[in-house]
Amino acid sequence: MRKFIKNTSLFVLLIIVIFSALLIGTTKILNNKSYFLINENTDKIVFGHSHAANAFNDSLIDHLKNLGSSGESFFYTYYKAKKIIDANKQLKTVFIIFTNNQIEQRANSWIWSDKYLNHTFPKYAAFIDWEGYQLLMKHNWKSLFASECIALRENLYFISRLRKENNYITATEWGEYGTVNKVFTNEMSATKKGDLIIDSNYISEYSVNYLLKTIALLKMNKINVFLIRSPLHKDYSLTNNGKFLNFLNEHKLESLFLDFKDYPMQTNQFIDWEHLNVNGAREFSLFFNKLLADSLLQKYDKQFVIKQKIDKLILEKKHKSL
Amino acid sequence: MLFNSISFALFLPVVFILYWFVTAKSLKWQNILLLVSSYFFYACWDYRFLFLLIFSTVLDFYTGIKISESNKITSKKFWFWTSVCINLGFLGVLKYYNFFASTFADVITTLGFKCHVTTLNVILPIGISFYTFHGLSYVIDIYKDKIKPTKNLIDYSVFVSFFPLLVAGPIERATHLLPQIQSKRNFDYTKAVDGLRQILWGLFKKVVIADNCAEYADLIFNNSSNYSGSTLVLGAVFFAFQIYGDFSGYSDIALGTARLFGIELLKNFSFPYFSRDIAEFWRRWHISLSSWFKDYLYIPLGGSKGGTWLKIRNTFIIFLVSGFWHGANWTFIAWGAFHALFFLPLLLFNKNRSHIEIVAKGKMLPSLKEFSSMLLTFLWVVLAWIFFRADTMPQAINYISHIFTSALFKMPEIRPSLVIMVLAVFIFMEWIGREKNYALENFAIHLSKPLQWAFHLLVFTVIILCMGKEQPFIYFQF
Repeated sequence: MRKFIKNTSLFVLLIIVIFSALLIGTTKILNNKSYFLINENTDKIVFGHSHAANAFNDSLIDHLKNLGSSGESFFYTYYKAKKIIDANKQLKTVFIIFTNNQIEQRANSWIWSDKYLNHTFPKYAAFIDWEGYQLLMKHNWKSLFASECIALRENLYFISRLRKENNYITATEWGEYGTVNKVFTNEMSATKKGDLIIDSNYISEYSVNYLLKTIALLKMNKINVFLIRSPLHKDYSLTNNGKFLNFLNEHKLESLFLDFKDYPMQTNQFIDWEHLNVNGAREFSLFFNKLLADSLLQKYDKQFVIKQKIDKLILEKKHKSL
Repeated sequence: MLFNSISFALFLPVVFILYWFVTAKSLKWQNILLLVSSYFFYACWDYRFLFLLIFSTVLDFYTGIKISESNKITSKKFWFWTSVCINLGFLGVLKYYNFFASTFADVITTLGFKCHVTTLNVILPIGISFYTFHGLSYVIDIYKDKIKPTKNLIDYSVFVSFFPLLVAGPIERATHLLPQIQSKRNFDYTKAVDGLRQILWGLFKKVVIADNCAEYADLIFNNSSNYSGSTLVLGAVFFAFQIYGDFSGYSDIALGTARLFGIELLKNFSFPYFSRDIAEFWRRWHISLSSWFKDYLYIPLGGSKGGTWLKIRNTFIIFLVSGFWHGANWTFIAWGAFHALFFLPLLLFNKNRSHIEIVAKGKMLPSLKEFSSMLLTFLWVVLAWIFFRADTMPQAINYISHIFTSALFKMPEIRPSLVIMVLAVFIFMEWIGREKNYALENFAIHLSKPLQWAFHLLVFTVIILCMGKEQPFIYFQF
């Protein structure tokens, strides 16, 4: 029995040593050998989840790179931002997508649920600090182990291709503009209204914490940061609830907030209530580009300017339809 | 608690240490520990259904005693049928009620009448098909005077609920497992190491083979209309390896785990994809279920004795019931029927026992004839798996009809080279180890100790690197 216990313990110990060595080794290599460079002419970046990925067609917006990625929570955005701003000193402005769902309860699951630990975490595993690991371990230690295994596999795969491709952003799909041709219809909008569940009483302190950390990090690096809400369907009911706006007030973030939710899009320019399709993204990106060219970011009351432009556009569209 | 989860990796050593260090001196306490651990293991899934398991256990325990104590045949029959009806009643209501109710409604509606049936909205208790069959075999064996009932409820409860086999078998017999539970177990180093090796191989099958094949099988089955015939064939082959890796992997872990506690469970798989005909396949696939149906259904019906029609009837009954045991869906029945069709000619021409020994025993390679028979049998089994995997009959039929198009000979659109390479290594290892209980049993045995360690560490590292999301075992749903 003693021999069995001794040999089994030794085997387990060796496994732990091999696993730890591989993990530490790949983490070191990734941190030292991979690059996070974006085009040197790019001085503006968009971070965020699918709203960002679907709304900003960066080929139509001057000097901007869309690094939005579906289901990305502020937790992962923070670690992404750390790497990107470190490697790209030319950056001047960062837009972070900010909508209700990112600070509601479901935002927690985007950090540590099984699904996101399996899909999102492995791309960031090598860059997450001890504090981040503690948070993940506290909430889902069981899945974290399996996700570490996935991360290790993906890291090894990336390392094996280092000679061919050393840009981590493109190699691991850290985020990009996502073209979707699907069309939302009035019929779909009417039948799916029941799917909207308003959960305005809960704010995810973890997401908020990482959003604030990201903002502080960007400010520390003298990068202008803006929170931005992309166009939302007029029937989308999870927009203007009190908690959301109170949150901005409480954290003195109103001046950073650029709200495009009322942009007059047609239903067929959406994929669903929250995401723009290729046509919607095209129209919005051109509009956004024009605003930037007209020095929106240098204006004192940016939201007022946006509202004026949107109101004007609503009137123009009304005239056209008449 | 899945066998491939961290929870189980913590649970198993704790129970093992308590078993051999704390309770080792008393058989009674060892069995109590096994029972408590088994109930904890089950409760981790859903504690509410634990009461059903306990009820079923107590029912069979007492009816077993009553059957044995009854002097009159009517009294024996009463207790026997009480147990059978209640056991099958639970299984029938929880697993099959919705199927029968909706089928009945469909038939009535087809006949032009209006019919509304109420369906149940309940989860199927995990392992119910397995522990019900444990209990039934015990009661039937007592009724037929094959065994004497145990008077110890703890021993009997361990027989029904022993955690390695509780949720997905092997389906044990009281004649095999109960005497082991009732007698003192001694720690055997060689057996324990062998148990760990079998667990390692089971994990490899589940995590590396089944879970990786599942990804592509799901992708192809869920979008079958978008792919060419050749891709659909590949999808079905992936599913064949998924279900084999999944279920035989589970069985290997169960057998290996039981061996750590000094208990031998029935072998459940014996390299089924190396079978040369369907009869051999069924002697090698889910052996504990096939032998259960053979002993408790096929032979009582008359087996292969009697006239041709009786043989045909019995064959169809056993295959259809076997299919239906897997789930309340026409697809499972079709799967059973498909196998019956291929088995019948063998039975009628008395060829169903042509291949008892493993193929190419003592040789490195099979003959051309053996290879063609294996390939043909495998393809037939793969075709049948399409019914098993499909959600509905129309989906299965569509899938098969899409296979047989001109695009059957095109290069598949999906070619996961890494998975195919891993599969090739897996088939090679299974082939090399086919004369053993499991492929890894003697695989590195001729190597020096350090190389053996290195080999097993390599297998474990591959498992870790291929580990993904914990996928539930397919047979948990049955």
